[in-house]
Amino acid sequence: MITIKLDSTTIKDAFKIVDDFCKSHLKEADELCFKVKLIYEELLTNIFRHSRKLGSTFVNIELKSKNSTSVIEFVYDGGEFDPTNYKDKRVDEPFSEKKEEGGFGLFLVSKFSKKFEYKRTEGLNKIYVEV
Amino acid sequence: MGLKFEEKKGALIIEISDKLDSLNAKEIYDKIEERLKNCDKDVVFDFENLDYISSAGLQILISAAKNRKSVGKDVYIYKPNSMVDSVINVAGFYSFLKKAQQI
Repeated sequence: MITIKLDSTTIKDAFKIVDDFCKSHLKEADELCFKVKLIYEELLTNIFRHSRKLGSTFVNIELKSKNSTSVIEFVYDGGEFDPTNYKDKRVDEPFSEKKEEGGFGLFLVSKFSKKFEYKRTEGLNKIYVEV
Repeated sequence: MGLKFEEKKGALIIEISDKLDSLNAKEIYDKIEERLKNCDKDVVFDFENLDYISSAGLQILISAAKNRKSVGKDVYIYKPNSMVDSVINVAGFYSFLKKAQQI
């Protein structure tokens, strides 16, 4: 498990964790590696983006590989937010010149994961994803 | 980050290589927005050498499509790999983006 402080200077370090995991556990050209990186990035950027609003200061990150499944776990402090239960209205908005950009991150996580779970325990947000 | 612009057969080809993620999307977004000013051509995103895209990259595609729609032009995607294609497809973007067979 690796702990990352949530501030704007640490996001690149946090990205490096998944790159290293893919290099050591997966074939980088494989679809599984793509999905792991995608889900990791979408959840991590979400945690960073909302850290100020939720009062989050750190995230514990764990990546594991078991047979053909990869597991991504994030545990972070701050206010409660269940990403498995959040639907961004922009996803279903039809295309037009006024369509708002963004909102697809958690949607992609739900589409490309085998299991996407959230628990709130002991004042911490715990996200568990199987890919 | 790899980003190249080339005008070819009446279209603006935008080649993005390697990856399009939240670490580089803003810089690429700004360069494309600037290049599209005073441009009246269709846009083709050449993804032949793009290995990875996330939702940050999808925002660039929406932005370009909105920009081209405002001048009555289209946005095409050329040779995405299977996963890049899958992300674009799952997001429903092929309802407003077209696929280019050649450039």
